[in-house]
Amino acid sequence: MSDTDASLAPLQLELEQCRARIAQLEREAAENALAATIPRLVETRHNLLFELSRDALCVLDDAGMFLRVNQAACDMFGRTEAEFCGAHISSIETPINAVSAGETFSQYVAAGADESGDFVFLKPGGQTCMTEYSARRVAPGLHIVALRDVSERRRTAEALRTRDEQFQQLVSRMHIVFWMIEATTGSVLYISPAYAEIWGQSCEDLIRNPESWWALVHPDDLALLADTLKRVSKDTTLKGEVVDFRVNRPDGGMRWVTVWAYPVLDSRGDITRIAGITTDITDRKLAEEALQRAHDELETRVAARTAELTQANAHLRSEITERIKAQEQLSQRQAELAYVQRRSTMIEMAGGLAHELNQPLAAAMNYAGSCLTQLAEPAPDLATVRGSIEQIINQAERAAEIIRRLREFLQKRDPRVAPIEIGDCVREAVNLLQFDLRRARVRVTENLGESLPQVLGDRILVEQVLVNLIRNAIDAMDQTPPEERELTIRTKLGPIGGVEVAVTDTGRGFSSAARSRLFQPFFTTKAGGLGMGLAISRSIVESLKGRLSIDRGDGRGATLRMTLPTLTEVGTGHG
Amino acid sequence: MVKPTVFIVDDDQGMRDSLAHILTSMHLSVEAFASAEEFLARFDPGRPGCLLLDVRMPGMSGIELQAKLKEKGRALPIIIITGFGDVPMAVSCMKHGAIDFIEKPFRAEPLLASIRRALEQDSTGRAAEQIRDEARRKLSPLTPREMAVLDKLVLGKGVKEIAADFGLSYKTVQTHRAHVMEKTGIDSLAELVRVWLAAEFNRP
Repeated sequence: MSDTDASLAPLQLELEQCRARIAQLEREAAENALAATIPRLVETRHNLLFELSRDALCVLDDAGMFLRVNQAACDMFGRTEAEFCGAHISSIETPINAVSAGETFSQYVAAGADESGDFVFLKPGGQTCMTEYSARRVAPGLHIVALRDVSERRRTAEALRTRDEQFQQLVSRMHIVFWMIEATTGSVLYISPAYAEIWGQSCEDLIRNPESWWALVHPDDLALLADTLKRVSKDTTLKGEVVDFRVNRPDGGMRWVTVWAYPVLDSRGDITRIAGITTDITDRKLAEEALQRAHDELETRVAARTAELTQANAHLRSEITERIKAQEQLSQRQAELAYVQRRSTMIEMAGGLAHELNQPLAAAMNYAGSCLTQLAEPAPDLATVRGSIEQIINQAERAAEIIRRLREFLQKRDPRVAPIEIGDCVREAVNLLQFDLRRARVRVTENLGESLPQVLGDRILVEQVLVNLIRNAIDAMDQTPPEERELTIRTKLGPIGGVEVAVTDTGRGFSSAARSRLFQPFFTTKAGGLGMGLAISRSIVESLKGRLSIDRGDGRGATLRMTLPTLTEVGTGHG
Repeated sequence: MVKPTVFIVDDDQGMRDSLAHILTSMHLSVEAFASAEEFLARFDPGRPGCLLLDVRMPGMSGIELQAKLKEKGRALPIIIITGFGDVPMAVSCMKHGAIDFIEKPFRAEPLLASIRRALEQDSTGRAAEQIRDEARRKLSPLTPREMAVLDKLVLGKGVKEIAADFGLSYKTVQTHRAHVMEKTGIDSLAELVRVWLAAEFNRP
């Protein structure tokens, strides 16, 4: 270093000290100047802004004393400017649970940095006022605090949040999807949680890809759905349209949904959005489908069954017609056969009948002879003569009766079913066979039940059966000693209804083998028999809805029973 | 003498009554029966008369009745009443002793004629029976040996012949012959032959 330097050094040091002093003085001067200028500044440069601010502005010193407030602050806190001046910040009341104003301020001052935050205080009326504040130190020991009343905004936000929460609570529990889409694009604006449940796609996925739901609509239902939504997006007068469609879920499941969609108008009355409600109706649809299927199936079955029945009915009808025809033919044949058998029986009986007819003739001649004898007397007993003539008449009637019986029996005619007395038939049959019984030396016992109900039958056919049974019995007794030849005809109420005629003989009876074939045509145990009697008898009895049976065949005679229905049993249905 | 009765057996009431009526009107005594059994039950062989019998009846037949009557010792003369076509049966009855048959229907006269004939036969029969019974009564005290001797006597055999036939002595046979004459009270061989014949011992 030079000499100069050495000599300059104290000067330089002094210079430096001077310079530092000057800087210090300048700094002090600047500080003093600022302090002096602030009120002026505020007043002059910012007074207007300060006063016009809608936020409450308060100027405070480090201690928290209000130096100045604007009109908005007066309004907010409900004080006059005069009331503020000289007041400390702790005079601002705060709710019990909130941090006090003085504390807040002193902390801010201690922190030494600008600050903003929420501040809640109580208005003079006790009303809570929420504010957002910002505090700033504008000069040493001088702070401006700006407060903005956000009570209304906060309340609105709170209300909105609550409402949204309620809505979320509401929709989260519902299986109904609320939605809103763009009218033009169909992309989703809002979707309620139930969407995921029905569509099988998460709401988040949908929101990320707002048109993706279309892809899940069943292809067959797309056109219908698009049409419906188009209609809704065009017609402002629509209250809403309903459409059902199917959703093919990503998991492969299928759901039926019903949609009620309606247009949403903007403030200008244009349709910009479509809103709606979608409900899962899968169960109902499936039930409906099942029902429909069941119904269809039923219809098909009913149709098939009806057709079947119609056919069966037609078939049955023709069958019935045929059967009636066949029945008529059969009964015609039967009547003819019965007639033929009757005639052949009558031919066999002819000799006997001639004898039978001879009896009254012979008797009448006897009486006539007696009359002649009487009249030849010198003094004829006319009373005796009259008696004889009456007897002649009786015998002639008896002969006529035999002929009548014969003619009737030989009549060829259609069966006439009518109520008849079975006892009459028995007597007629026995009378027809009077001679045969005599010739065969058979004793006849008629044991006719009293006051039996009438039976339904054709008198001649019933007589024919009885004639056959009696002739059979006569033939069966040809090996029986004459004094033991007994024929008993018994009528009584049948054990299981109807009236029964039992013809019992004391003949050889039937072997069990013979009994089983007894009613077969051409079966006979007699040398000269044709074997038609019993077969025809049975068919006659059955045609009269009766029964013919044999109940003994032990070689000591036989009993043949004919049971015929009574009027009440057959009712009116009998043709 | 007891009046003869016409017995009618016919199961046909018309026939029975008309027969009874006409015969009564002819002043005949009549009894009618509906069956052979009924008649048989009341039959008295001592009563004279004849029987009008219908050939076909239930129970006992006319032929059987005839047989039964014969068993009772005496057959009434029987007239068979028959229907036409029943002639073979009537003939069969005739073979069994019926005296006549008459076919229904018939007039009164032939019936009456037949009945008269029958009653006459009955009456004759009864007379012959009386003679036979008397002869038998006369011969009844004879021992079998005496009867045997009598049988030879009526054939015209002498005592010697008879003794040879029987291996007896002449005297014994002679004693038998004496006993026969003595017991019967007959003193001529001619009378003895007549009584023997009347007794009808050799007839079946």
